[in-house]
Amino acid sequence: MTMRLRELIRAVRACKTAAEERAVIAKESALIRTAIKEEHEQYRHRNVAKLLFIHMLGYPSHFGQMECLKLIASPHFFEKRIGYLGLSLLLTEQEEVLTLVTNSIKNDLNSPNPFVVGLALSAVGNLATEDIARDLAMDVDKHLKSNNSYLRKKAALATIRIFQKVPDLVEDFIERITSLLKDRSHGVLIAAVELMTEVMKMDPAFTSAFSRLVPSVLRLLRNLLTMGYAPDHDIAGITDPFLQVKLLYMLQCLGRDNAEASEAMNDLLAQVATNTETAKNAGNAILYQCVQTIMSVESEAGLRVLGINILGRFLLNRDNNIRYVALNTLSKVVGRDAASVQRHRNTIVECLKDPDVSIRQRALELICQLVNPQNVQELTREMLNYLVVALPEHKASLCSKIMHVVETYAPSPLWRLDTLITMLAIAGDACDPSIPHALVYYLSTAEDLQRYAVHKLFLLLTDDASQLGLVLAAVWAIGEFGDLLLQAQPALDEDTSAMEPQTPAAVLDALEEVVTNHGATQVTRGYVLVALLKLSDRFAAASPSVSDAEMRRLAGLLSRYDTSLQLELQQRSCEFRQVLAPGVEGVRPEIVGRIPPLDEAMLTARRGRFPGREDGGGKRGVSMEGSLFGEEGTGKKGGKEGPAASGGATDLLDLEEIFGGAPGPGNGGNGMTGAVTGGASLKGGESADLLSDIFASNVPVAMPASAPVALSTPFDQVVVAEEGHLPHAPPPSFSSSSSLPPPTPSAPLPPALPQQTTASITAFDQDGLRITMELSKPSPADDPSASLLLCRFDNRTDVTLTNLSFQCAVPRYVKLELSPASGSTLLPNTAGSVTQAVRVANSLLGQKPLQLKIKVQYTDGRGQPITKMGTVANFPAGY
Amino acid sequence: MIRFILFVNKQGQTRLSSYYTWMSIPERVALEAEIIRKCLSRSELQCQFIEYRGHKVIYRRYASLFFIVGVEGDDATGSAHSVSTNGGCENELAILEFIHALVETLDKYFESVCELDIMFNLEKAHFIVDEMVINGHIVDANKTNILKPIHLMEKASASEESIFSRRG
Repeated sequence: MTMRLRELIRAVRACKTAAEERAVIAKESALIRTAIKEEHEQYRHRNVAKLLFIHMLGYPSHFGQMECLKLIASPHFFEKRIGYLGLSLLLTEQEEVLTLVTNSIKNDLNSPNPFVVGLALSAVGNLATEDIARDLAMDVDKHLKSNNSYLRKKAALATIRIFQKVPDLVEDFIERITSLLKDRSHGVLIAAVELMTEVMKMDPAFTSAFSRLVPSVLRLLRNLLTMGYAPDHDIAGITDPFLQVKLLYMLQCLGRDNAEASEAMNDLLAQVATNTETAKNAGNAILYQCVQTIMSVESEAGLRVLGINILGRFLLNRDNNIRYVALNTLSKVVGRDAASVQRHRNTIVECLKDPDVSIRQRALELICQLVNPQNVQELTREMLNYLVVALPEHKASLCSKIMHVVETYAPSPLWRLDTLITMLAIAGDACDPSIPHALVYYLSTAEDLQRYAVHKLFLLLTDDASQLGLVLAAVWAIGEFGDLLLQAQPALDEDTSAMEPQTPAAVLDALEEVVTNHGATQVTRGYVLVALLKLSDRFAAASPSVSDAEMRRLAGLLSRYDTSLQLELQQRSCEFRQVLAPGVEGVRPEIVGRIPPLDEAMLTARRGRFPGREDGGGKRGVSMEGSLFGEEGTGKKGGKEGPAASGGATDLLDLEEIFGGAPGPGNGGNGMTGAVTGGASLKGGESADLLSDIFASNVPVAMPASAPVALSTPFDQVVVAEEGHLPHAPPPSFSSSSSLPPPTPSAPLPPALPQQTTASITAFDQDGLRITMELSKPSPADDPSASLLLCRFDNRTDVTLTNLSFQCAVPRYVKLELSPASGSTLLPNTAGSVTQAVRVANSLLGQKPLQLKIKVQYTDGRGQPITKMGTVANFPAGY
Repeated sequence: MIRFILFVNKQGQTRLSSYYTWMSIPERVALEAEIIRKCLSRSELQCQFIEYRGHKVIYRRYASLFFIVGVEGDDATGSAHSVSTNGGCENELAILEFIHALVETLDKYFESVCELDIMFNLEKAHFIVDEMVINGHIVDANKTNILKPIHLMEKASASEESIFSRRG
C-alpha cells in the first residue's frame, strides 16, 4: 500500500540531499505504478494527487495520465475534480490521450451539476485541441447563455481556447459574444472583454465588427468611475481595477487607426487620466493602462501631451515599479512623440543612476532612442558615465550602442576620436573587437588629429594597460605614428590641454610594459612586435633625437620572442629582425611605411561579401585586422599586382579576403587561385561548382583558420615581399606541420629541403581502389614550392572499374594544375595501370602544410557509379 | 496572457507551478531555478519586474514565499508597432495587483495562509488558482466570487468522500 500525500510530502521535506529526494520519489513512483497496474480504485485520487506533487518537483509523471481519465469518468465529484486537475497539469495538448477524454468532457458539459460543468469548461479552456474545440464548440456555446454567471464567465474563456484552435468559428459567435457586454457580473465582463480583445488580436479584421461597441465600453467604464464605493469590487478605493484595465485595453484595440472611435473616447480617457487616484498601485495600474491607450489610439494632441506628462510624473515616483513602466512606455512612444519625450530627458538621464539595474537598462535603451544631433554630446557623456558602473555583462552591448550613436551623430572627427578613446579606456576589455578596429580606421583617415590621438592613447596606455581594446588601438597608433609622439602636441582648443613630447625611451618603456603585463595575450604581443618594427622606421626618421642605444633596445625588444614557443610570435620576431638586417634597406621603407588612409567603402564591401562574418565578433575582428594590415600590400605594390588568378575558380575562396589586399608580387603562388580541377571531362565553368561541392563538406581544409593562423595572415604579406625581393635570403624555416618538432632557434637555416628525392604516400585506399602519390620536386633550386604528385591508381579488386575520374582541390594558398589521366579504365588486379600528374605549388611553403581534398568517381563491376571523397594531409615536410 | 504562475520559497523550492504554455519538465525546472535565483538577488527597493528569456516576470514576495507570474515579454512577437497588440500587452502593475488578489484569496481560504498550507494542500491551492486563471487569462479576481463556488464544491466533495472513505 502506498503512503498518503501528506506522508510523501513529509518524507520529501525530510530529505537532506537531492539524491535522497530522488530515491524517495523513485520509490514512491514505483509504488504508484504498481498501484495503477493493480487497479486500486480507492487510492486512485490519492495517487494522482501525489503525482501532482511529484510533477511539481520536476520528476516524470506521465504514467498517471490514464488514471486522470478514469477519475474524470468517475461519478464522484471529488474524484472528477482531482482528475481534471491532474489532466490539466500532467497532460499537454500534444498528448494523444486527450482524444480519449473528449467524450467525458462532453458528458460533463451537459451535467445538471453546475460545478461539474464548470470543471469541464475549465478543461476545455485549458487543454482543448483542435478536434476537441470543434466537437465541443456547441456545448460550450450553450453555456454562454447560461443563467449562472459562474458558467458564463468560464464559457467565455473556454471560447477563447476554441477560437485559438479553430479560428473560422469566430464568425458564427460574433453576435453572441458582443451581447456578453450587457452582463452585470464583473467576472463575465472581464472574461468577455478578454475574449473580444483576443479575437481582435487573432484577426484585426474583427476590430471593425466590434467598433460599434465603443459606446458600450465607454459606458461601462464611466459607470465604474462614478459608481462610488462598491464593497464587492473595491480595491484601495477603486472599483474593480482589473475590469477597468481590461476595458481600457479594449479601447486601445478598438481605437487604433480608427479616428472616429478615438474621437469618441477622448473625453473619458482625459477623465481617467486626470481623476484616477494614484496613491495606490491599483490606481497607477489604471493610469498606466490609460496612458498606453492614449498613446496608441488617434487621440488629440493635447491628450497625448498629457499622457507623456503622466509618464514624466511616473519617472519621479519613488516606486521603482512605476518608474520601470514609465520608461518602458516612453521607449515605445518615443518614435511618435519624440519632442514631448525630450522634455523629460533630464529625468530619464537621472534614472541611469538608479540602484536598480532593470531601471538603468530601460533608461539606457530610451536614451539611445532619444539621441539626436543636438544632444548627442550630452547624452553620450551620460552613457560613458554609465559605462563606468555598468555590470560587466552589459558593457559589451552598451559599447556597441555608444558606437552606433557615435557613428550616426558624431558632430566632429575630434569628438568622435575622443569618445571612442574614452570608451576604450573605460571598457576596452569588454567591448567588441570591432570598436578598436573602427577607432583605427577613424584614426587613419583623420590626418590632422593623428598626433593628438596618439598622444592621448599613449597617456592612457601608460595609465592602464589592462584594457585590451585600448591596448590594441594604442599599440597600433604608437607603431604607426611613433614619430608624431616625439613631437609636442599643442592644445587643440580650450577643452584640451597641450601634451609634452615623449622620449623614445618612454615609448619603449610603454611597449615593454604591454608585453610584460600579466594580461598580455598573443595578439597584443603580436601587435607590439609590429609596432616595434614600424617604430624602427619612425625613430630613424627622427634620428637626431633617438640614440643608438635606444635603437639597440628596440632591436632587443623585437628579438625578445625569437625563441618563443608560440610559433606566431617567434616567426614575427625572426622575420622582423631580418627586415631590420643590413642589406634590405631598399625595401624596408616600403614594408614599414605609413599606411595610407583606409577606404571605408572598400572595407565595407569586403566585410559585406562574407555576411557570416558579422556574427562572430572574434572572426570579424580578425578580418578587420587582416584588412588593416593587408593595406600595406596594396599601398606599396599597388602597381605591380601578382599574376592574375586563373579561371573562374578565383572567387571560390576569395584570396583577397584573407590577405586584405592585392596579392603580393614575390611568390606567384600566393596570388594564384587555390584550386583547379582536371580530369577527363571537367573544365572551366563547371569547376567552380564542382569545387564548391568538394569543399562544401569541409571548408576548414581550405582555410585552416584557427586563431593563430588567421593572426599570421597580415604579416605573411611582409614575408612574401621580402622573399620576393631577396631570393637568396633564407626562406622561413618553420613548418606548421604538427608532426614535426618546432625548429630549434639555434639552427636558423631550414632543414635541408628534399632535393629531387621522391617520396610516396597513399592518398586513398578504399574498396580495393588505392591511389598512391609519388612526390617529387621538379626544380628545388628555382622554385622549392612547386611539387609534382604522380598519382597511380591500383585496382585490387577482381572486376574492371570504368569511367574513372579523379579530381582534387587545394586550399587557397596552393596552386594546382591537374593533367589529364592516362586512362579511365582500371583492369582487375593491376597496379598503376592509370596515372595522372598533379602539379602543386605551395605558396606558404614552410608555414602551412600542403593539403588536398580529393574526389574519385568510377563505375564498379555491377555498373554502379561510385563517388568517394577524401582528404590527403599526410605530406612529408617540405611540401 | 499569463504564461506561468509559480509559488517558490526562499530556498528555491517550488511550492506550486501552473503553466499555460507548454514547456518540457527539464525546461520548467531550469526556468524555476533561474527565476528564483534572480528574484532572490534583488533587493526590496528594486522593481518587481524581470525580463527573462522572452518572458516578463512579475513577482511579489510575501514572507518566505515568492509569488511569480510570467507573462509575454515585450519583444516576444516583434516590437515594430508602438504598444503593439502582439505581445507585451499585459499591464505589469495590474498583474502585481492580481498577485495580491490571489494571495488575499488564499489567505482568506486558509485563514492566514503560510507556506505549509499551500504545500500540504497543493490540490486546494490549485483549485483556487484554477478559479482565477484559465488558459492564461484572468477569470475573476474577486475573493467572494472565487471562494463561494470553492466552498460549495468542497461541501459536495466532503459528503461524497466520507461515504467513499468508509467504503475504502
